[in-house]
Amino acid sequence: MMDETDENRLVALLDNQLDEAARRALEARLAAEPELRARYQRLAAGGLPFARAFDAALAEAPAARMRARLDSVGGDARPAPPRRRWTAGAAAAAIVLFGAGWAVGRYISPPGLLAPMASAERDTWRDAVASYVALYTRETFAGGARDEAAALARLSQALGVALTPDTIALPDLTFKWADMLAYEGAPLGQVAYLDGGDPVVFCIIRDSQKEAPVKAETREGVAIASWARGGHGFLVGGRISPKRATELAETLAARF
Amino acid sequence: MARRRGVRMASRDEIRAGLTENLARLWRYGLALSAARDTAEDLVQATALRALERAEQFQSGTRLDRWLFAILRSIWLNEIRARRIREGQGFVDPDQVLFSDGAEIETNIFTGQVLNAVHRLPEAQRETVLLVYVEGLSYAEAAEFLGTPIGTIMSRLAAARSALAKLRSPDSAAPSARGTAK
Repeated sequence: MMDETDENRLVALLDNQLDEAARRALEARLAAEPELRARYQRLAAGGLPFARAFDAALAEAPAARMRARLDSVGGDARPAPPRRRWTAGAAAAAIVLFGAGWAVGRYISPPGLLAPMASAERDTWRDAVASYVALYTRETFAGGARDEAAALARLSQALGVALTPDTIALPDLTFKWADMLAYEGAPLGQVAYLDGGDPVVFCIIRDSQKEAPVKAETREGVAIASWARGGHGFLVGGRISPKRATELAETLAARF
Repeated sequence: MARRRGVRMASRDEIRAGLTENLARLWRYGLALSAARDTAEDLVQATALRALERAEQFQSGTRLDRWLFAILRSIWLNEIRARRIREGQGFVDPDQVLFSDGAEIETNIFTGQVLNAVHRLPEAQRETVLLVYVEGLSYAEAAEFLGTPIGTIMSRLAAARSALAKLRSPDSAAPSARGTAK
């Protein structure tokens, strides 16, 4: 075999991966060398019934949910449009689907299947938000607003910030809904609006963010203006101009 | 629907069928890599999306399950793991129990113990154990799939076996090869 260490050869012997000559040579040494034999026995003891155990683990796979998620991907191989995801409505569904939406946004664009991503650019919750906001269209926001006060009350409780119809109101923007998501285990609240015809989101994450003033950037073609205060991260995002995003963010940053 | 299958390239239907058939195995591989059930599930979905998107890149006649595994691995290494590590979540908590000791897995108690013992191994060893001992890849196939020399496959398996042997009989203090595997 290529690697000549004894340990490796002993494992290869255990796994029946040595060729005939190598196997015989090693067996001859095993007969003559007690120390080698002890190592062999030790490695043999570490060979657990892996296949049986892992086959049992297959039964723990969330098969039905994965199948449903697969089936929800359109037949033309494009991800299901965001509208379909959101009409499900229930907060629980939104959390599950957030994973899908995050994945959709993240994975439809890269050109090379196995090409490494420009990873330094993709390291924050702002990326995750930008990834799915990039998929929003006017149709995503079709339908009436949900019960604003009740939805905001739920978010307030989960996030520890005072979100009310008054504190989230933005001039010229129409409230559409508020939902609870999660990013890497941290609660992530999202308030969605229409700015004319443009989808805009205001997101709040409960995470130990360092204090930071409003900063604008563009990710995935989405303008993001973010800031952090009191252990919370905030952002305003949408397919709007960075200037507009900053303006909206500053209005909200005066309250949060 | 399947009429065009085979000659030119794989159809999306073919990829979809392969995905459906392999969802649980992909999840198990994702779990071996990430040691987190939710991440494993997201990995499967991301793999499905990308595989469907790239259906024309799959060559009919080659192994579809291997191709799907390679996509999942690429997404894990290049996108998800890198980010988790940057966010300080890259390390597996060795005390976290991923598998019940029998409640959900109906075979026997030992099954859960084996899975949790493997879960405590470093990621590269977990992955190699899964590919060789569970998925049944030969050393040469595993080396090719992982892009490593065969010697690395062997040293990972040796390290894994040493560590697991130590778990079974902690008092026999033979030198451990753990840590030598990359």
